[in-house]
Amino acid sequence: MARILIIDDEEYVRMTLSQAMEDEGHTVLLATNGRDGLEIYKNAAPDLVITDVLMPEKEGIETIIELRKLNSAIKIIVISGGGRLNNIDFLEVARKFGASAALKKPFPIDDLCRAVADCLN
Amino acid sequence: MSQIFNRWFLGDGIPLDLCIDYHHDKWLVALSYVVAAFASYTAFHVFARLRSGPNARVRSIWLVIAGTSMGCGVFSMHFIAMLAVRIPIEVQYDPGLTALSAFFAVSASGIAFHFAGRSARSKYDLFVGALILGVGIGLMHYTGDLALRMPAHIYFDPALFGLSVLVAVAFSFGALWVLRATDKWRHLPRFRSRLIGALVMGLAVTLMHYTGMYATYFYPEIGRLQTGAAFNSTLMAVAVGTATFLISSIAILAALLDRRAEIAEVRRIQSESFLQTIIDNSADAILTFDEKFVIQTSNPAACRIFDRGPEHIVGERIDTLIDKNVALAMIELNTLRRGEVSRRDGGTNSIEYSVNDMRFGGRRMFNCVVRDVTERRRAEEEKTTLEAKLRQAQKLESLGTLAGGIAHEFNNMLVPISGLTELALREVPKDTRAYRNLNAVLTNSRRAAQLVQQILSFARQEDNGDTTIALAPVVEEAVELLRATTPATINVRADIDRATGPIVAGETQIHQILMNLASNARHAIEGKVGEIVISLKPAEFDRGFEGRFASLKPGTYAKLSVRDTGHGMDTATMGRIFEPFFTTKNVGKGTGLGLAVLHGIVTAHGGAVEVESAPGLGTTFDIYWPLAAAIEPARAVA
Repeated sequence: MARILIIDDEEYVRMTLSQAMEDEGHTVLLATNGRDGLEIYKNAAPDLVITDVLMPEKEGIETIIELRKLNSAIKIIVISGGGRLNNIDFLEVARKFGASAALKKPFPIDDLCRAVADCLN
Repeated sequence: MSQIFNRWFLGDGIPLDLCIDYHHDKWLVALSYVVAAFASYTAFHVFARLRSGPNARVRSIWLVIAGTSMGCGVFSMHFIAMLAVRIPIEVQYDPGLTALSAFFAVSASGIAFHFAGRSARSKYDLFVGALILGVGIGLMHYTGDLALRMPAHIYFDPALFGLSVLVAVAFSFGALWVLRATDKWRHLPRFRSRLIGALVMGLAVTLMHYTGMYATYFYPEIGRLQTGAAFNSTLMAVAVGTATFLISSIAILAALLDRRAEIAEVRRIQSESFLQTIIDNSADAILTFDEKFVIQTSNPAACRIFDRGPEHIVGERIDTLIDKNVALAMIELNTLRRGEVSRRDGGTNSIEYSVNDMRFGGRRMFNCVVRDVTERRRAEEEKTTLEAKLRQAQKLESLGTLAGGIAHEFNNMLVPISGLTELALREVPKDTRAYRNLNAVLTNSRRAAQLVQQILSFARQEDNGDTTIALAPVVEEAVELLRATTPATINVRADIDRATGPIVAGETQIHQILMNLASNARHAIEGKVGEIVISLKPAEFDRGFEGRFASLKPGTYAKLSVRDTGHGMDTATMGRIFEPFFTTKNVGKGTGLGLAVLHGIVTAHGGAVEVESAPGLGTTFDIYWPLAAAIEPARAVA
């Protein structure tokens, strides 16, 4: 099974995603923002990163760019609640910056599991 | 002829040393000049009236007055000068010849003024006038000499006789020239120029007289000679002088009064003409009418505002021209009222008017000032509409911003709600209450997610998924779905023109719009038998049609209509249906966002929505969506 880093500033989102991933048999690492996430990635080098976009300290797009600098073959799934800023589709932007998959919150757990499985295969 | 000459003129046989010696009273000589000058001044004063007389009759009157005052003055001067003669014999006057002498003076003056006063103003007229006046003065003088009754023969020196007449003519010419020239001497006060003329004229008369006197010789008639004067000539001279002053003063007074009256008349005419010009050029209609509402006067602006000729305004009743409220305006005077007047082209002009009363010729009259405010009213209405649209746009914009922020937070909250529920459901046996409860949580969290999605669509922050699509298949698919989900009491009918061109839109959006309208239609018919008709056809917009939708450009549109036979809406409801969160459905049945989202989607694509409804008569929504060909022909799908 794989080691998955989940970066999201929402505690219950982290809790939901980590339970779902653990149920799938993966090992989960958690970070509340991009900066912490990058530190964990450097130390633990997980197989997959699931990251939110709008976060304090270091937001998702920047985090993706830096992660790809560390490992250009890195697998990243981006999740976002959308809204907040006018007419910017963060998921589309994230895809362009190298995210492997993008999910719009809220999403069915099965969709996430499928995306994770696709990335790991 | 030679007999007459020998009788009156000095010949070789008449010794000059035998003539009676006489001299003049110098005070009376001075008085005679003053009388002549004053009379001339009077005549000149009157002459000015003669020149400015409004018609021939008035001018004739002033000619007679001028001639009379001048003639009287000349005659008085002559008479006083004769009384100034101190001669040692008794002198009497023949009344007939004296009167004839006065007649010559008056008529010559009148004729001279006639020529001088002619508007042609030729030198010839002036000369003729001067000649007549000079000769007339000469005639007056010598006829006066002949009127003398005394024990003496009178002889005249022919050279001095001729000179005296020449002097009279020359000075008359000078005086009349001055009289005319006074018009050009505008730098001088009128009084001063007239005085100069009068002094010259006085000189003409006086010099003529005394030259004539020097031409006159008195020879005693032997046997009839008496010495001493028969009456006090000084007293007589003063009396004549005073009479002349009086006559002249009356003439001057008359001229002054007439001048004042004329100035007043000119001012009145100017003032009336000025007021009439103001009324004629007024942008507002100014009408007067009597207590029976009958219009008495009007102005050109009234013809424009009421769109009819003056013959259809004056004599008409004002309450037929404006409206019945005019009667109220006659009670509440000076109050601004609004009204409408019909034009010949079937349109109306908006007006503002006020009524005031006045007394005229002992009657109570009213005046009504009417202002055309059609343009202003139109601008006001346009402004109100624009303001309403702006308010709506601002409301939607702020709601959009708010919705974006809320959506993000909601979505984050919905992740654990739905996600953890899903995970929990995996662990709970399906036939338990907990399972059913968790399933309900999941269902409602998905509904919440849909609501958030709607809010985001409304805020237009979502990818619309726009492509060029043919509408007909999408509509047909929606109709099929609708038929399957609609109760049998409601007949769903489609009227689709497959030739309708493609549009640029997201299929999901069109589906969402149709489902939304159909859902509303179903709701409107609910519990009754009814029909929902969904139609699609092309619609051409011309400029006239554009007036209904200021935002639409002329061109071809796809017209998608959803008509129901439901309960319909009143005007108040119709005015609010596109407002976000406005709903007529019960709590929990509608979000109030459906039509707001629909409106947002349609207008964002350059289209427009029109609603037609009335309570009990059903509702029709017409959506006009620009054809793809009209937007970008290259992208159009055949």
